[in-house]
Amino acid sequence: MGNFKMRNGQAQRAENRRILRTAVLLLLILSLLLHAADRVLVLKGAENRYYSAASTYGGFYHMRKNTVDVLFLGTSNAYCAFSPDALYRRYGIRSYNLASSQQSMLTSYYWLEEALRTQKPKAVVLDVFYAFYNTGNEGSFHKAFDFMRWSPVKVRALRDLHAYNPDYAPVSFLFPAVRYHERWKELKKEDFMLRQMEKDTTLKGYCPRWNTAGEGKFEPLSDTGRGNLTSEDQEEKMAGNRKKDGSPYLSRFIQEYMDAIFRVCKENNIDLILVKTPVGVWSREKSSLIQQYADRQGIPFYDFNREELYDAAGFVFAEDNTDILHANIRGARKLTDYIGAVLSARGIEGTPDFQWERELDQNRKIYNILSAGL
Amino acid sequence: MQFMAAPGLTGAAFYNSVPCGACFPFSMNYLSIPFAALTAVTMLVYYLLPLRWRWIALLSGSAVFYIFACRRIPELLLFLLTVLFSYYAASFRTRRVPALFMTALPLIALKCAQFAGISSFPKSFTGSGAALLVPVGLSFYTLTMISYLADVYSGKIQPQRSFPRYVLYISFFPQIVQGPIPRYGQLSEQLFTGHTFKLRKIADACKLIVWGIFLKYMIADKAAGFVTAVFDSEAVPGWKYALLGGCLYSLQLYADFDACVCLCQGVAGLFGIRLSENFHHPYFAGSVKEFWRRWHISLSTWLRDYVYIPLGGSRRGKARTRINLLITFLVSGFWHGSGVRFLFWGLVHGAAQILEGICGGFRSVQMPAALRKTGRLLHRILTLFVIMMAWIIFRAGTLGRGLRLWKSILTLEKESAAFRFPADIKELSVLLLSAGVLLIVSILQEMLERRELTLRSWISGKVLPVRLLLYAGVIMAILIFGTWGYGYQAQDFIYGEF
Repeated sequence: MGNFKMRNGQAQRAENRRILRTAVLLLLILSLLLHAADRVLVLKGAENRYYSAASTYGGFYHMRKNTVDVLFLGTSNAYCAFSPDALYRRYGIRSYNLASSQQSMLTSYYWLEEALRTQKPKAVVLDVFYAFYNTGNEGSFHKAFDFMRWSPVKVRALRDLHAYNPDYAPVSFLFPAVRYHERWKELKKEDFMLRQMEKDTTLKGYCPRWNTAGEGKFEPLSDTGRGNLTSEDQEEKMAGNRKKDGSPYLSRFIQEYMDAIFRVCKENNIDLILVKTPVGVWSREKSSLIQQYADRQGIPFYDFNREELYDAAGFVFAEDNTDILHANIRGARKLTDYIGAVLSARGIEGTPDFQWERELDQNRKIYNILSAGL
Repeated sequence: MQFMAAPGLTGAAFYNSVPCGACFPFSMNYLSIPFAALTAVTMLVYYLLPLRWRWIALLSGSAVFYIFACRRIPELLLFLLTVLFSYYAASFRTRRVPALFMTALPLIALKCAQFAGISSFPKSFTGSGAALLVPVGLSFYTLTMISYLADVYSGKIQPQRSFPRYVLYISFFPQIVQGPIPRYGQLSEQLFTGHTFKLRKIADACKLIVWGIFLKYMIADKAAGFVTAVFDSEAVPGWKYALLGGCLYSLQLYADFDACVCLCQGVAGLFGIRLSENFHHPYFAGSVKEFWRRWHISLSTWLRDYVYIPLGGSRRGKARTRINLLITFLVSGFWHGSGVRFLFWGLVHGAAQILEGICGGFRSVQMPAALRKTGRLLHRILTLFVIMMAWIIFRAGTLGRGLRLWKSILTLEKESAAFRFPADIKELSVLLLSAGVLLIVSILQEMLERRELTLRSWISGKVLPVRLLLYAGVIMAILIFGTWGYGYQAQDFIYGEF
């Protein structure tokens, strides 16, 4: 009887070990498969055959440490307007464009924090279009944060995001497949090319566009003119944060993160420059509010919607914008040239660097191909 | 925490007062995180307690589940009142018929009210026309109590002297909402004696849970979209889509219900408790009679034991047998839903069985083996067709709509130009593949049963790579292709509505 019990106990233990071994191996395999699924299903944020959020952020991590002197942040207004290649080509200034679609000030702040873990920029150029919209859609957060590597910065960012909107569950950022598993129905070739995208630093976050806005009712801001409106509908749709009387205002959420960006720049001796690219939904009130903010903080604000800057940059809305919000490659050259001059005047010097040198030819080809269509 | 209505609280305020379950809006859907958390905590407490006290963990877990699942305090009170009454009636062997009637009264009253189209109390009574009281699991726990009382009265079982143990039997949380409907003799011992922790049982339970999730997300919820397009469209779907809709609904209902049962059995299995089987590949049935031996087994045996047999069963001649059969299926229809169409659905099944009984006489006629084989095949196809047609009535919003779909199929009516069927070929492909997996699993189970083996033990005997491939494959298929997550509400389990 005793032997039987002993054999029974041994058999039980052997079976338990077998079950545990299977469970552990299964968990391991599932982790690997889930990781692979994440990489396929994650939104790559591709706009056209040249640009993707995956390349922007993945490529940033492939830049050598402390080689980026200027960072661009902001929405798609910024990633269409400022070309690191053009800036390097003309001024030798090493820059990287970390703007993303509908980039909230929260995202801008946390990407600045993240960038400072590997880079020591001398200047940050922040496009302020989203100073009047608290956040973009959920996809805009995924495009920016899905490619941020796990770090205390990312944890804080997701915590803040969840606090702002509980629908943005951290688990969907931990496993993008949880959020985007339905994408299995719409997978394309590029979804299986994430590794290549992440290594691509050709454009360094810039998105080339090649259409023109055509005939449009754009008027730069002046002392007499009301401001640029392409249509009442667009203004209504994109009015952003407004008080009861319809006037725009900087919400507490926005101010909190703009202040945080300012503070980080000050602590790290970074020259913070606010800009606004030419857009069809801007107004004197918005421009004034940002100017007041900039004056309070003692930082410059370059509003290309204002007549003097618009003319100084040589910008022609109908030819240099692709729609009411985004510059095309010609417009981007003009805006980048102007901001490059500003940066040079503020003491940002050019530095030869192979990371930009090696992409010059490829960028020239892209420019030539696309500008032929303009 | 509000458990009791405050003195003086009357009318709508009382009827709409909420237990703490609704103050903390946790869903107790079987596929929700709160339910998983509750199960995990209950399990932890269960295995930490000494063996003879482990039933208390189950009781606590069931109490928490029920409180959070309840919508309003009066429903919680009604449930407790019914439990108390049935306990008292069994313990003191009060008069049988009144006891059974009073226990069933809340369910009967609700069904009659729904049948009459009444969905709320009169305004004069509650002040603002509060909705009728529908305690969670009413349909299921009422049958559980009736079977318990009937078995006590007939001497099959001794009444449970401990009120807490009785409450546990009635409210055991994995099965109170959607069954299977337990029998006291089968379940009580398992509930009240503690079970030792066995990794094999936990592993088997987990497999059942995963299989249940597969059925729900890969078949039931996927089919739901296509079924809705056919049944809820104002346009005429035509015979092809009506037939397709009927077939897909048959699949959806089976997968949904079996998913729920698997989840219930899996969760109960985590505590070492074996719930009764509720489905046995019903669409493999060769006749409607056999179908009801394979579909919702706990309900059909309940109806047999507590309605059909007490009416006389098949002991009082053919005519009376047929009447008893019809009455039993009418009761089944009445239990399932609150419209004439459910009664009609029940009658269809009753009539089909009667017809089978009549035609059964032909089996004794001598005929060649090939013809006999063809006859059996035709009978099987006809059985599936009849069941599917009955499900169409079940699903259609009204009897009229169901009969219009019947007409479409039987007259080969063309679809109207306005009808739109979702052209999501990829979803349909995954659905059909998953249904294929279900078919293969069912066939394997039938084959293994003949060798007195289970599919789980058969898979457990395979080499490690094969097992890992199977488990990982199923789980990843659910994660990637399953109908869950953002943009979807996990479809409430269909039988939870009854």
